[in-house]
Amino acid sequence: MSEFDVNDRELIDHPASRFLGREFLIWTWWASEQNFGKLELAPFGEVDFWIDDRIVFRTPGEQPQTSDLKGGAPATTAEARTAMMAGKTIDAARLGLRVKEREYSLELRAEGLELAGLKVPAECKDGEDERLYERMFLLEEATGILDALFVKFCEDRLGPDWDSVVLPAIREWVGG
Amino acid sequence: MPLLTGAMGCRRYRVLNQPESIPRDEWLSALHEHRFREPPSSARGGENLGWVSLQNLCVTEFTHEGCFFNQYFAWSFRIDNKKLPGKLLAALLDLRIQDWLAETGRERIPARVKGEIKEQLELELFPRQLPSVAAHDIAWDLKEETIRIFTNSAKVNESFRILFSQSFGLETRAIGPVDLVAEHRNADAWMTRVDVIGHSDYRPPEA
Repeated sequence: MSEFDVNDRELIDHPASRFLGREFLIWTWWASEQNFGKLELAPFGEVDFWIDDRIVFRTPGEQPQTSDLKGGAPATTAEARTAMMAGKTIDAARLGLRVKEREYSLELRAEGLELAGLKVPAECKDGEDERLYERMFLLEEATGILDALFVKFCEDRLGPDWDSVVLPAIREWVGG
Repeated sequence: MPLLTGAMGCRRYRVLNQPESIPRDEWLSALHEHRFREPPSSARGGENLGWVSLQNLCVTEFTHEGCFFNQYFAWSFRIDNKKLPGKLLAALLDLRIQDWLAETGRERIPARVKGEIKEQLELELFPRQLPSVAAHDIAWDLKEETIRIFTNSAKVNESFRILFSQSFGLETRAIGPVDLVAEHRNADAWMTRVDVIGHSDYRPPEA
C-alpha cells in the first residue's frame, strides 16, 4: 500500500494553499458589505451572503494566537475591525447563504476550504432515499455557491486589477 | 448519520483514475472484504475500524439497494476505540502494588513485576469495557468523481483514505483552494499567478 498524502500534504504543498483560503474569507467579508451582500453567481442566480455569528482571527506565523468572536454579529464589532487593522487573518468564519427561498448556515475553515456544521433548509420527511437525495442536493448547492464565490474571489485576486484597484479598496474598508 | 440527519461537516476529495465503467459488484465485494469486524478477543484495547452499511453501524452486508442511490455510492466508516479509564487503572494498579509489597515484605516493586500486574489488570478490565463507537458517512459521487467523508477529524480522514485505497485500489486528493484554481477553465493563467503571488497585507497604509 502506498502511504499517499496521509497528512493532506497536497493541501499545504503549494505555498498559496497557506493563504488563499484565509484571503478568500477576508474578501468574502468585504464583498458581503458591498452591493448589500448580493452577487450574481452562475448557475445559481442572485445569492445573498453574509458573515454570520462567528469569526476566528489568527496572527501570522508558526505559533499563531487566535481570537474567536462568537455570537451576535461579530463582523460589525470594533474588535473585529481592530483585528484586521492589526494584520490578523481569518482562520474560520460562520457564513450565511441565501439562494431563492433556501437559506444555509455553515462554518468555512480557511485551510482546505473545509465545510463544518452546515445547516440546510427544511428536509423532507419521506423515506431514507428521498432524504439522502435532498440532503446531497442541498449540500452540493451550498458547496457549489462557495465554489462560485471562490471563483469570483480568484477573478479579483488573480486578475490584473488586484494591486491597483481591489486591494486598495479592501484596505480602505478595513481602515473604515 | 450526518448524511441523513443533522448538521453536516465534511471533507471533499477527488477520486483519482476512477474507471469509466463502474464495477458495482466488485466494489460491493471490496466493502465486504474490508468490513468492520469485531475483535477476536474482548480482552484487548485499541482501535478497530472498517466499513459498515449507511443504515446501521452493526450491519456489514452491502447491497445495491442499500449502497447505490443514482450517482451516489454511500456507506459508513466505523471506528471503535476501547480504552480503560486512566484514573481507575492507576488507582487499581496502586492497590495491587501495595498488596504485592505487603506480601513480599519488599520496599520497592521491580518494573517487570509492575508491568505484569498492569497487564493482568488490563486483561481483567477490558472484557468489562465497551468501546467508544463512531460511524462516519461516506458519499461517493460517481458522476463527479468526488468523495466526501462526513467528519472534519484529520485523524479519521487519514484512516479513511488509507482504507479506501486498500479497498478500491484508488487514491484520493483533497480538494483545497489551489485545486479549485487548477481545475478552473482559466487554470493556465491563474496557476501562473498563483505560483508567484505572496499573501497580501490588508492593513491600511496608516495602520
